[in-house]
Amino acid sequence: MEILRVEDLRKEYGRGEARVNALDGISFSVEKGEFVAIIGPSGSGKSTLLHILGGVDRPTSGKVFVNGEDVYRRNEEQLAIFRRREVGLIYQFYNLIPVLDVVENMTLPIQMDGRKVNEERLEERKLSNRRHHLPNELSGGQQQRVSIGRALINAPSVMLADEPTGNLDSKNSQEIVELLKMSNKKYDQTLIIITHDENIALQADRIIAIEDGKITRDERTRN
Amino acid sequence: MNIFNKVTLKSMKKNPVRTMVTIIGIIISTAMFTAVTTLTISLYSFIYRTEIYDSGSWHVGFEYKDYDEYAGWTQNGKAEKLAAARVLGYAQSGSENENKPYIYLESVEDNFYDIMPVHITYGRQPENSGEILLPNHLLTNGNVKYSIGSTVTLELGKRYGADEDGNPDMEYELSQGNPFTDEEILVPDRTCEYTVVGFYDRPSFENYSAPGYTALTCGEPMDDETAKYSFYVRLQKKYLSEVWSMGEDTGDGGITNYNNTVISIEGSIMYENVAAMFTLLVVIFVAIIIVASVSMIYSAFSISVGERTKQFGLLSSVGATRKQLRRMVFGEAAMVSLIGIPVGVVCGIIGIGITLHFVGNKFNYILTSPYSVDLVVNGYAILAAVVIALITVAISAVIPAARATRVSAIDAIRQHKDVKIPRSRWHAGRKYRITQKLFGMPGMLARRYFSRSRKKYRVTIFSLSMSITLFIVTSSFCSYLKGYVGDNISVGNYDLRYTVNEEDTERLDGRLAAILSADGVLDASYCFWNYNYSIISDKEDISDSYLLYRAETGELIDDEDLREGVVTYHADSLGEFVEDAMALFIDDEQYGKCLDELGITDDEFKDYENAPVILKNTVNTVEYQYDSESGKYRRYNVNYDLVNEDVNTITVKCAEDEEPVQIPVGKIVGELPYKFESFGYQIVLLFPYSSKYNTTGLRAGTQYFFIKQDGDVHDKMVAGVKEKLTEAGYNASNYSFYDPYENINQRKNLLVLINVFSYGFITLMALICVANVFNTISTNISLRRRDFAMLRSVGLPYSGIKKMMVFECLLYGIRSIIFAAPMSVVLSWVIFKVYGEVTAIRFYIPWYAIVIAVVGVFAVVGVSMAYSVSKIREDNLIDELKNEND
Repeated sequence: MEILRVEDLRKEYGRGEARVNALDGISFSVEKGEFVAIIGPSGSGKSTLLHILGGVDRPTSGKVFVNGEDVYRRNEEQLAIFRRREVGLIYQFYNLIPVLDVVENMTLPIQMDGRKVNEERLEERKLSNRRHHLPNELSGGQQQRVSIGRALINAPSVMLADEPTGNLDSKNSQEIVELLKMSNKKYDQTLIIITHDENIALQADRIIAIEDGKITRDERTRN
Repeated sequence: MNIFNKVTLKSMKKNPVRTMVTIIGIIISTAMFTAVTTLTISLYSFIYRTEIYDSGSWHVGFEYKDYDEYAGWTQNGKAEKLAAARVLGYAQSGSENENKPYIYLESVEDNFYDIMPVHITYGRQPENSGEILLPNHLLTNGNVKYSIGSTVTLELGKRYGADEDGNPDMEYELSQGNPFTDEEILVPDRTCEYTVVGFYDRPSFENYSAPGYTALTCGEPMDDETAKYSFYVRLQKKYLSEVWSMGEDTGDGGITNYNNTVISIEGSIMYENVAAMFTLLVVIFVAIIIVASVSMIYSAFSISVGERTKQFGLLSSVGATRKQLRRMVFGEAAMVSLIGIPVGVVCGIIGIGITLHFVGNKFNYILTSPYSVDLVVNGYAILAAVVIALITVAISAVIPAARATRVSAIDAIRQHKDVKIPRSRWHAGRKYRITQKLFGMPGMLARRYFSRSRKKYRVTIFSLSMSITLFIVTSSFCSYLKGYVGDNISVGNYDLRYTVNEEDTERLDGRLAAILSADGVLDASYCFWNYNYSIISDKEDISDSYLLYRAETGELIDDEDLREGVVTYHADSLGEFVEDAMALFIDDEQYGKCLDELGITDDEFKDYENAPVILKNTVNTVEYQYDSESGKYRRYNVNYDLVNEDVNTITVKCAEDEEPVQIPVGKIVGELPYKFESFGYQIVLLFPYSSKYNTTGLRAGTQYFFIKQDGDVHDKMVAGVKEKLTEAGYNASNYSFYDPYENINQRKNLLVLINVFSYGFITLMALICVANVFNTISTNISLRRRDFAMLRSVGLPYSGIKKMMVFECLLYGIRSIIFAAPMSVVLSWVIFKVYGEVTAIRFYIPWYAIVIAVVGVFAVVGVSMAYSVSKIREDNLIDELKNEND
């Protein structure tokens, strides 16, 4: 079943001579439950792509369909709800709210909806004794786990991760990847991850390589 | 509490100093709003109480009406209270006042005193039909003496108009509404005796033109159908709107009065004059406070939003809608208001309460009253203040809230990556040579920061300029107010003035002797003056300075005309000059003293009857002339001599239609030797009282006695003079005296009031401004913590950071002053335009306020920076550098 489809996506920055085509006609589609790694050199447009998939940045032209619905036909209000419920974003620098503790950060999307937090789902996150620590009291790996927790809390159909391990050592990196893979398998969640780490890329079902805003390679891995 | 407010609350807690300063700002502005509204209500209640004291709490009064009408009103159910008086008639009083020959006697019921302004100054109110309460002005105005316990015999009757034969016309009965005429006839019908039990102040329900002094007794039956009645009604509230029609359907005769002020206050229609004064002042002050508060609270919120840009972006990226983000800002506004506004209300009430406690009794200059202005805490006034405060906070939050929603998720996520630099403003190679020379590398760094984030600095400079402008404008507004009152305070050359209409020199001398015999009197003199004189001079006699003065005021066409001798002044083609002059006749004894002072021993002066004139030839004053074309006042320094010093005779016209007479000039002086008045604005012809020029025909009018006291004995002196005059059998009623001290005291009181309120106001305004500046600057610096940490990590010493701060302090200070100084001068000028011109005050640049503001700005900016930087010193470099999340 197709969960995500991208059609001729373009994104331009600047005007005139200074114009840069960050995305230059990108099209692909992703099946439900797929684990996709996007690789490419710096400035190739992969982060831009991820942000557009996640509904935080608007494309100059082209379409993005999630669950068969055109994402950018929504207005700002609906787009915010889309970010809250349909996708989970994970960043290299965790982007936690510094004044909120672990539980509060994790349950942010639920609370934004004004819903009650389901304690059972929290238990699954194995938060142990760090529930009420603030982000700056945690290590990088721990912070990233909180941010993954936040992305997963609404059981979104698509998980988008922008170099989630870029700031972590190899041990922590592997743990984070395991965590992401686990949710991918266990909940049949679609996972799209940007990475520089070949080891991580090779663990994905499919690798898309981008260069100068174009897809240069799109292939399945052997596993 | 939802998650957004939780985030906001936690962010606020993380920044306790700024939060506190913001709350304090809101407290101060709310306190000021509360003070303004509460003061307004307190003043209003003061005016209301004073009005009730002066005129009573009745709404509509009917005087000299038939029994039926009175009985009708007692039964129609519209009255909340009814004060009734039965008219007992008029009797001759023996008053010296020709227009007020009668005592007008009424019998009242006890409830009369409830709503009528009867203020007993001595004794008590009558308790039976044999007792009488007399008004004080029977003595002070009519000079009829009674004391408590003395018996008054009144031949009471009615006044009638005369018919053609000169007999009383029984159809034409006269009441207090008919002033005394020589044709009227009083027909007494009975004689009654009363015992005086008390005296009361002249009642306001007695018209000034009324022919009878209103005396009150009681105990007469109130159901005599043949008698006339006066009754005053306090209406029930629901009938108050009909009050104006209530006089229409009354019977013939008598008068209907309305207690206008009380009706309009109670009918909550503002009393016009008061309303105009209040509305203008309240609007001005509230507007100034709103502007200051908004600029302070606005920058607090916009700082808070700026600081949390990333937070908003992050929230947005995980799905917060714009509405939710906007609500976050208003949530912060609500939280600070929740603390600030109630505390502000309490502070405002306490503040104004304390102020009124000390100066509440000094409002008598504005409104003569037995009361002082007491604190009135009124729910509506507080509500109004709270609403204004809430609106102020809401206005302040609107723009920051809009900005919060504009934060794009993508920018927030990327924030740590780079700083956008607008090309046109930023030239990487720019060296800022002078800066570098003066402040070295740190100075150049600061300069670059400044160019890099102009927008952030703009907010700071805007609020600084705002604060300076407000401070200067407020100060100049208050100083105009003070200048107007203060300029007019002048102590005359005399301590008491006594005026009489008397032409008999012997009786004048008698009064003078009585005055001089009183304790505490140093010297006294009487005089008569007449303004209608003019001096006609030939061109040869006129001094150059006078010609110059006339040329300046535009009455001589130009120099050429002067030479030709064609002079247009007073259209006198013969080349004569006519200048107004005043003839002053002073008592002979005083004249003798003047001669001594001038060192004149000539015998021709000693013959008082034929003494030559002593001419005060110099005018030295300031004139304001209203120019109808431009609608402005022009100020002239007037300083001239009228005639040349060698003039021996002057031609004087005593009045418009009199023939001019030649008067020999005995002495020309620059200043009058008379010590009681200087008449600096006038040419004066000084004569002794016995001069032949002091002819009775021209002397009709008021004679003035000037009295100087011996040391600080004013009250004693005034009492003594009155006592001695009375003893000697002369009228010494209050109306004949003018006491400059009373006036001065009242003006001093007013000045104290203005001082207290304006300095209070300015101080609080300054506090808001300080809070504002502190907030902006300390935040600006703490936003740059990481930058500072980074600079230090690459080796910039703490002293270098300090240098950066000094430089930035200068940048802030100078730039804001450059904006604010011209703006405040312009605004001060606008205030002068609106307010000052009417009172002929000259415009001046409020230098002292500008100086204080400039010094203050550098002080506040400096202290704020020192505080913020000292906090940075405590930072751990590594933590700051590592801290990606902040």
